[in-house]
Amino acid sequence: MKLILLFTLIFGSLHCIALEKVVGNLYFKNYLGHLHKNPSRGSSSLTIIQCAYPVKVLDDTEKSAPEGWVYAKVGDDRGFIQSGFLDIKRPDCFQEKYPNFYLNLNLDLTDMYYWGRLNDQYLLEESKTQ
Amino acid sequence: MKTLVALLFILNVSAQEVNELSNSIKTQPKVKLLQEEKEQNLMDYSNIKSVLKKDGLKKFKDKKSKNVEEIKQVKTEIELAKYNYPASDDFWSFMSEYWLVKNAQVLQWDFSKPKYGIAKAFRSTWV
Repeated sequence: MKLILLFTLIFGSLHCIALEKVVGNLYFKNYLGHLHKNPSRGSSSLTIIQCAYPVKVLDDTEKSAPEGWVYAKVGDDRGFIQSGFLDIKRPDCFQEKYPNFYLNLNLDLTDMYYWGRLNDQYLLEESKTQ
Repeated sequence: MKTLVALLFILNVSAQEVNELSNSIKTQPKVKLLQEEKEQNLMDYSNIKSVLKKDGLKKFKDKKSKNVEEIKQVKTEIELAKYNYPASDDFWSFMSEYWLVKNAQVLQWDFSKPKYGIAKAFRSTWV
């Protein structure tokens, strides 16, 4: 019985590893944001992400992200992030530019949550006019 | 009397021996010095000083101290920058968001909006 359980566990974990593949390492460039459960702005948050946090973009055969979204791993959580919030280079963050000012704001978890939610509300688009 | 004479004789002989011995020491030839000993005696420390000056150690020391000063200056600047306040551009955008965040429960802006195609229309305006 134990052997069967062990085999199931090993096989299950191997199956998960085989399904997902890291295709890139990016940085979160917004001030604060969320890793969403589903690829939509209103979707529930799995974790709060701060600026310059490293994000592993995954390629999963089972979880495909729609346009403008990526399936990613942040810490131990896997979820969806808007691709516009990610950058290849490590960004200059507000927190790092003005650390003393930022610390004096004494933001709690609720504030961070709402700040991430606020960033989700924005419609970001780059001007194509030359 | 005999004893006295004998004592005087012995004393006289020993004085003579001492004199002879001292003369022999004075006239003894000098011991030949080793090559290393000669070199040691000839060592001129002022020469070493000039060699040390020529080998660029002073230059290296100056360069290193200059580097240390530069690093110190950069570190001080970084430390001071930590206490900077954001410029007006950064400040007002940040504080506007801060106000929205702090009043989120009163303003109730955090709800999933229906899709009226605003995002699509918005994007199409930029094309």
